[in-house]
Amino acid sequence: MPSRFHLDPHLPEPIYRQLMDQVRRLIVAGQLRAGDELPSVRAIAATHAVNPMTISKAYSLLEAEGVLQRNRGAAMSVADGADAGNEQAIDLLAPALDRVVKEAAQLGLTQAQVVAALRKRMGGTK
Amino acid sequence: MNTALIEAHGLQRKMAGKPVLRDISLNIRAGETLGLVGRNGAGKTTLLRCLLGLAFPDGGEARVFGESAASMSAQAKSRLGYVAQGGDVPALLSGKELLDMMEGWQPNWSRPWANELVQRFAVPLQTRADKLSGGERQLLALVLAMGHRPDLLVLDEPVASLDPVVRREVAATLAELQADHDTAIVFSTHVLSDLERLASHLAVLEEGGLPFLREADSIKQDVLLCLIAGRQGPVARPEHDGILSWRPSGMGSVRALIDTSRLSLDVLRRALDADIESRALNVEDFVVEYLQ
Repeated sequence: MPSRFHLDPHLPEPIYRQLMDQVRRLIVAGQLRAGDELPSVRAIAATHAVNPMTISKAYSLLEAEGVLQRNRGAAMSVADGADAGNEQAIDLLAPALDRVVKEAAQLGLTQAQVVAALRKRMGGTK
Repeated sequence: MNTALIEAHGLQRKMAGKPVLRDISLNIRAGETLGLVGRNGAGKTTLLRCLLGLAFPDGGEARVFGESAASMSAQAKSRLGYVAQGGDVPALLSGKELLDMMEGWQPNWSRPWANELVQRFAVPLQTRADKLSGGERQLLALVLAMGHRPDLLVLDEPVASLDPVVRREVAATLAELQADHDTAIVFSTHVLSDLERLASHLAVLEEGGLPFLREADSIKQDVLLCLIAGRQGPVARPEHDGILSWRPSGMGSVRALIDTSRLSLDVLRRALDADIESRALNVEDFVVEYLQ
């Protein structure tokens, strides 16, 4: 299958993290479902010309998190239950939220100010 | 699988009384890719040649597949591929003649794989090597070094004279070789952006010393570029091994590379009584900052 992943080695974010993030997003968005097989390490490594260990590392970490499972023949697929609901969706915002927290601290903003700004931006929705 | 395929202990070499390599130690395991970067003249070629026993160190030792690099067995050599700087191949022979020769020499030579490489890299086979362009010669040298699916591949500036499309093809092929064969790769380069994607480890060679060797991921995760401004005037560099570089950047402030796995910015901020702005770097920006 053509690669669904966008791996950019020039970003400061390590490639294995980019891949982990994108697999989680595809699952939360319903584009990958329990049992769906992921491309082989070799296929992703060759398509993106990156070190295969980088891809293996991402897959192993996702396996340890219970997001992926290893099948016979070493192919990886989405683990049973990993696609349940979008409760984990909020986790995907963590990097962006971390950045907000960090920049708010640098700017000397209070928690209340940041929350108010966020609420306003989201149109006051609950 | 976890033993080092190539290792150096305290390598030293002098040329005309001047140190070219100073106490270099490193090792590379199966599946790993070490990118060796440094400015021109930093000693990259000398280091690679010493690692392979093609040049002799004045001190220390290099070992390949557990054997002394200076006296490698034929068996060890048959597991090794090497591309010298500029793709140095015998000038008077054609690609076809060279491939036939390798097939006779290399017990593990695979003709189908070599042909596949020739196709992918579009190497002209009928032309004498000295009539090839620099890029074609480099590609031919790569085919000659990879046709036996080596366990260890040492590449000195392997993509210097290649166009971006072929460079990507070479990088993809190297990744494939690693996926299939767990090949360890050591390459040197001064244009990092192409091979950065392949490197699991990065070593920065500076005036013959190797002060920095790390996993590429850990550079991105742990090392931050910091702009440090003292609240009470200029700050002096503290002694700490988490500080990788430190240089004044005008108006009393300092640009520093901080390894936050060893030194937290909060600690530094308090110790210096300074404001610190930080950002993460990609590997290329890191190297430029580090070598400045």
